Amino acid sequence: MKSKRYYAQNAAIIVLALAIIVMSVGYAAYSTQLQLKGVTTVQSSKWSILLQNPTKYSTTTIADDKITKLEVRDLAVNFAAEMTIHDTFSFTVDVVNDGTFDAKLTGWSLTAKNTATNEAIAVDENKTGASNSYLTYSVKWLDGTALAQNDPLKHKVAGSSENVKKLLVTVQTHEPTSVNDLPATNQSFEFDFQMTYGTIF
Amino acid sequence: MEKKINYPGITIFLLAISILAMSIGFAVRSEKLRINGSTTIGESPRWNVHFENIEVSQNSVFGESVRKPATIINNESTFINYDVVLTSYNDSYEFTVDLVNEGNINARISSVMYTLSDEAKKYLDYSIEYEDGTKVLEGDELPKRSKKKIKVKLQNIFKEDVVGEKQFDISFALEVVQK
Repeated sequence: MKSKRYYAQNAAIIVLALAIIVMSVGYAAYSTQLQLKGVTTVQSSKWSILLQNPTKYSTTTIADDKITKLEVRDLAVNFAAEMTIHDTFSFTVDVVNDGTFDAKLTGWSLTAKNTATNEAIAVDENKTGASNSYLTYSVKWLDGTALAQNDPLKHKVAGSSENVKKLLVTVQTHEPTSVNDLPATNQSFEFDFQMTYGTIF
Repeated sequence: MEKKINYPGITIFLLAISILAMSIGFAVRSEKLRINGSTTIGESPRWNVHFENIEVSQNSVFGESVRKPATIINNESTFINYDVVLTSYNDSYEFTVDLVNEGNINARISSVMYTLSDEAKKYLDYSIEYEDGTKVLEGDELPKRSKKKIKVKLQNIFKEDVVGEKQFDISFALEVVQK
């Protein structure tokens, strides 16, 4: 025969169970589901830095038919011009960050030489200018500032132009100090300026 | 037997993959731009006008009558000197010389000057003209890389006997400038 204690225990358990059930139900009745709903679009990231829009600049003195080439091809701007002494040929080119990452100028280089003799033209310390006795070549930002390490180029944002910087390239001829240094025959010179943009996480 | 999971090994492996992914991500985010060009510098302006190629005509006095033949005497070849004696009426000294524009700039004669005193004019006739007989005049053009032959002639036109020796210094100058 089961003891009173047994029945009391079972009753307690049953009561407790019922209490828990009631409490659960009660709790369930006083609960509300809250929702936060929205739409988020994550664009695919893109890295794109390029040169665009090479345009003759106002300081140019040579006639248009003496500018035999000024064009963009892939990631390069190519130019060719015919000049005599006291001539200036200059043009601007847009450096464009068309991607989703901020970028910065991490390095650049300049080489210049006489095409026929392969004789190099002296390049300045900042590697943005080259010159001989009657010819000068320079590259700088259109606002007059020199190129500098880590010059920023923001990523493209609607309504902002911080992703575009204008570069000014100038080729100028002048009289040398000695008339003997003037070219007696046509001379051709090649210039090659390269810029590297990068970013970090 | 409990299987032991090598947590440190897995952690290192996952970190290595993360670093590798980050490196690849960094390597592709770099771009090289290029501005490449050529410039041709044409022949520079050169100015070079001078005398060349003196030829004395066979009709000229010669021998002792020519103390100093017509000669270009300076490095720039812009000065001719001569010293002759014209003893008799009609004696003459004549030579041709090329007026050369060897530069690449068109030129013109801006002035023709010579000194022949009134007294000298009694004794001498002095003429400077082109080979075809036309006179050398201001404004005459001398295109680049061209030349014109000039004829210089002195002639004794004094019919009477000369007492003693009459010496006349005659200078002739052509000023040539850029056209």
